Amino acid sequence: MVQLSTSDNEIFNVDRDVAERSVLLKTMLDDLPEAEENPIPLSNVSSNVLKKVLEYCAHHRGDPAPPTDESEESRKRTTDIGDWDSKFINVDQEMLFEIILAANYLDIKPLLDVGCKTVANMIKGKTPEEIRKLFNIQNDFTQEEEEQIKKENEWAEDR
Amino acid sequence: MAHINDLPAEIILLIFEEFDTSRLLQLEKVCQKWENVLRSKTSPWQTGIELDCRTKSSEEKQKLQAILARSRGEIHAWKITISDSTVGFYRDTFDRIPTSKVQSLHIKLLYDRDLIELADYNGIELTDNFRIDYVDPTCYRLDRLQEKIEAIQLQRERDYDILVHAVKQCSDLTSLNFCIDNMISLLLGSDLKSHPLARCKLKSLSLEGIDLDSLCNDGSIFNMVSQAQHIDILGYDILGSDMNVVRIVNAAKDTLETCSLELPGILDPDDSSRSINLPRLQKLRISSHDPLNGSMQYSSTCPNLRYLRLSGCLPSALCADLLTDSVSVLHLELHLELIKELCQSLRNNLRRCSNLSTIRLTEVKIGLKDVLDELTTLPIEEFVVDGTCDSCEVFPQFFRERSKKLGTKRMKLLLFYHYDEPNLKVLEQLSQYCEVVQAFNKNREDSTYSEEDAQLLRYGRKLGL
Repeated sequence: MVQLSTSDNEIFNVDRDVAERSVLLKTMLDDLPEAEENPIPLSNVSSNVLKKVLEYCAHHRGDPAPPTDESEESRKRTTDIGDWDSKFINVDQEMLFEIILAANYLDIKPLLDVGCKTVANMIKGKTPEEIRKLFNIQNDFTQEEEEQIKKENEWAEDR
Repeated sequence: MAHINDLPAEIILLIFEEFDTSRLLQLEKVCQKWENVLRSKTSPWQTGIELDCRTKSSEEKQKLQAILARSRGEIHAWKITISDSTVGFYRDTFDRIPTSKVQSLHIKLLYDRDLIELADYNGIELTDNFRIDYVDPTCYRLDRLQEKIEAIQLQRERDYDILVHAVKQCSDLTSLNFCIDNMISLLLGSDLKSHPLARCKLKSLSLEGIDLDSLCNDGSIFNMVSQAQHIDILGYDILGSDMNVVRIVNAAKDTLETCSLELPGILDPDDSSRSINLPRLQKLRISSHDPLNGSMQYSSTCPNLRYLRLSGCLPSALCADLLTDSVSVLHLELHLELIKELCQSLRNNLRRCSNLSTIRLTEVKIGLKDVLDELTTLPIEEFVVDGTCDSCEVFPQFFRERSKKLGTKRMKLLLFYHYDEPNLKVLEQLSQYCEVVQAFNKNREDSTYSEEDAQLLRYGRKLGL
């Protein structure tokens, strides 16, 4: 058993193999034997997010370790999100980004990929205006900057 | 709680990884953060560009210029669709290909007529810009027309030279896909040895409509494919003998895993045997449309072949060698005009596939019964029929025979329809023997798929539909 303490001071008891889905935790547990006795502080992750992330880790606890050679091709080939994963990641936007941030921090590559692909799917086929609306992004280009972008395209017309 | 722009730049780039370059140009416009991320040093612009150059569009040129500017001249994958009348217009575009460190090059060269038909079919008005090269016979006296056509042809040939030259200058290619309309003749091969292309080790080579004789001329193609995992050689009019096709695939025998071949059906006087030996081959599609082929002497050893697709007239000896117990998925294309020849080659051979689990029949017309008779004792779990099925009535008979021989284990029957509706009576009979899953017209839009259809579609993709 491993103890994890969240940013809001909640303690989670987790099986070691579940915790080790996180490369960060695995390195810590391997390098510091005493980490097993004391709760590991995860000051960047709140309890509701960690709960979600651990749900993912528990479901994938038996998965084979991802290939170590990170060739671009092998990364790209896994474009489909599995059935369980797509249900798991069906959460509101804020939670989705929190999960992505946590997966990045804890170094859980497959979860990070699922999160990123989900966001990519949300962006797919949308105009810049629709994307701004969807994610509540401010259009922070000034009139001049928009003109500039237009101009750049004109310049690009190098015939 | 978190906002999308709370994500660090490297994660935003990870999200953008899936998008092609023209999409990235749009994403730049969303907000300053995204623009900055996309113009940062680690930007994903190099990944690839897809250009539609079928019409003379300055937009496509602009797109290319914008991407070249952002990627500092590097683009690792190019996909270009172009028409014979627009090659000249895009000549400066081709000049940029070899210097871009391109690894994957995909060029599709169409004949204008395709575009005209395509436009008519889709109700698109072609612009004057496009029509400018198109000869209107009513505008010229006959001799003038002749002159005009000759001038255009000469120009086209010069244009093709530019295109071919660009391809031959590429020195880092690992994947080449060159597809040419059969109305166009273009020599990729002449004097290959003296160009950088000849020194590329290709993982994947896909050729359609390329003159094979000239390509095999100086032998450098065999060296280029010696580590290839994937080879396609297709096209009705590839001006080469079968021997050339066989020599190319055999040159890759240590690595070749998937392969699509169309045998030209032309005999060389001095080639005595055509033997295909590919120990690692898993997936093979082989076809021929020349009835002469049926009598040709072929032999083949592909001990790891799992997926086999056969169409047209194939030599019986070849079918006998390919249809073995290693094959688990078999796809037969039973086109009406050549069905007799194919069925003859299949006779007494199909039953050798003793581990066949999936069979797919396309364009089933007559002659189906002969094929089915061979299949009654095989351990098939999935049976796929797609395209027109004129003789559905034969199926209940087949399944009845089968259940007599193999017991009542139900198999899955998947029917993919294009035009005709299923015969309800036949369906009812079929459902006694197998689980019938019906599918939709392939042309239907994604939005109208039901959940079941979507499942089937995924399944279909698995089968390579």
